Amino acid sequence: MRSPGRVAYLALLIAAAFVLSSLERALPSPVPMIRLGLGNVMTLTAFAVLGLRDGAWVTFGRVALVSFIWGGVFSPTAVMSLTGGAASLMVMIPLALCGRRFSLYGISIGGAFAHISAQLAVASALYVQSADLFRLLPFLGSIALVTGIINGGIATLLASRLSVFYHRDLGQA
Amino acid sequence: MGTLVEIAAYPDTGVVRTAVAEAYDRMEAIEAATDHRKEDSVLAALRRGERVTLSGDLRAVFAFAMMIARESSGAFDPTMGKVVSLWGFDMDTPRLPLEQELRNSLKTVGFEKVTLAGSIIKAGSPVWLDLGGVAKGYAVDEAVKVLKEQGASAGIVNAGGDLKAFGKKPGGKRWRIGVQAPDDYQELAGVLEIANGAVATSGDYERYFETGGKRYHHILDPGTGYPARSGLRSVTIVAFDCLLADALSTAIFVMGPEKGLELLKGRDGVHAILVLETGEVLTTDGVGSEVGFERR
Amino acid sequence: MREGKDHFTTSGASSFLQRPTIWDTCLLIFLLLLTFTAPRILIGASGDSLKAGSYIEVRTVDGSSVISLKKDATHIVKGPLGAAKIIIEDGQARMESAPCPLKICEAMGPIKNAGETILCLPNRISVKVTGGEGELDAVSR
Repeated sequence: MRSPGRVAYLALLIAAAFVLSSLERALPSPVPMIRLGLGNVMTLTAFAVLGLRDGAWVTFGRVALVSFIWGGVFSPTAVMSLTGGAASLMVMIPLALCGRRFSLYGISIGGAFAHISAQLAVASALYVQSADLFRLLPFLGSIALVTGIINGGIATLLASRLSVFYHRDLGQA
Repeated sequence: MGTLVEIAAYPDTGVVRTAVAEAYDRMEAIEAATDHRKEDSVLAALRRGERVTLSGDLRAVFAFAMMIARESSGAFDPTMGKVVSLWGFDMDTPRLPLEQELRNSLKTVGFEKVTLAGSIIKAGSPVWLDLGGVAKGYAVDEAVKVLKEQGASAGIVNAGGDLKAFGKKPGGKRWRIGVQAPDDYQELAGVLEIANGAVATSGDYERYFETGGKRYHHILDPGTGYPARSGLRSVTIVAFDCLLADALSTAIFVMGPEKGLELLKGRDGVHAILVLETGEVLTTDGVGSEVGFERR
Repeated sequence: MREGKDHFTTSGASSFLQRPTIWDTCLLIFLLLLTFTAPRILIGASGDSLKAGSYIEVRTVDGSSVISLKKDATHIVKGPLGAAKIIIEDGQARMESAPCPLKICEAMGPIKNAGETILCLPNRISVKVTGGEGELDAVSR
């Protein structure tokens, strides 16, 4: 069922997601709060090229690798990454299952929004015991939606290129 | 006194700020005059059995203390100096005295043995005066006098929990004074609302030590020489003057709820909040009407 | 090539690779609305109110402390990443020179009403306004 070629592509996407996430973490942002969420691009690409299950693997693999390698497996940052990833999947997968109704653009913005909403919710509950953090939702949410559109575009482009190679390599018609 | 004094006065002008500095000075002067630890002081002379003349602040505080001693039938007694020293509460090195020592020191206690004639103290034998129970209250009242004389329209002087507020605070609302819950300096038993006046609290949690599984606090019963065990955790008194509030809170703590509340009968403008060991909170009639009180 | 709804194999790929659909736009509008209305509902429901607070509770890994909002001051708070400044001015508190990468916490202030919070997650510092109408002039002990 899982051909070596397929696993190779999966590994490629996970690795790419890890690199993108790491770069994002490493670069200090000149403007507060602007984060591109580029790691999700690979998840979306995986959805398109490899399927939903593998897309989930890309997300979890990215989160796990970033947590292990950059330290803090149980730290707040790791918890937040995991929550964000899990929540975005919980929204993206149902959207993807809706036939042709949503493109990667829609799936991406749904995922991005779920990502920061869940993070705000967890931070509110665990770290401050106050719903006051949701004050940030309008700003963070708008950024999430914008980056969601951008990521959707990048993923669409990337996936269409990649699937050409994929189909060629794996001999699927 | 070893306590932190906070003074806030309004309006915030140069004149008032000078007044605040003077108020602090006044309080320090009173502390120096009533501090029984200094060897060259009048109080030390009393301990040697000499006949002394009291002046100014010392006389005022002593006369008042004697009055409360009479009215409380000795529950409040300013001659407890030797016993207090034995326990070490005044030096911050408290210890449990031996029974024999305690009995000997109790022999020096007894406000009836002392008379004040004008400014001269006559006593049959050496006297150990400890005016800590009232000196703070007196100092607070004097500080408020200084502030008022120098033009402050409103303010509050707080000497480690014994305080007095005067005037209308900016904003016009009444002064909100928290009453600390026993054993937790971050929790409140309630919040008082007063237009002006003094508030003083005596509690078994302010200064104490524990040994042999028992807690010994600093409010001593002049009858036994041991910490008063009257079923009370704290007594908070609201009155016009801090001197009165301070003295009454100590006296009532020693006397207990029934006898203590008797002491307040007929005193206009004096209110009490008692926190019992059971956790119950007793208040006098005026609490809730003349002065506001929110339970916590 | 297998047609149909089997999305767990490669043939499901093509359904996503398209330009944005009407549904995408609907979703976008819906989420935009949500992003601007949800905060009001969530914050109101939790009982936090718009009453000026009198203290802030600062929590770090080492513990927590309570600081008055009535006195202008600069407090230095240390976290695992370094020291941050909490500045109290005019009854409001804000975070300055935080050592975290995104500086979200710096943009979260100034806060002054009961319940409002600033959170610096990487540096494990939280600042929450408490006190509300219960402000006291003094405490008798």
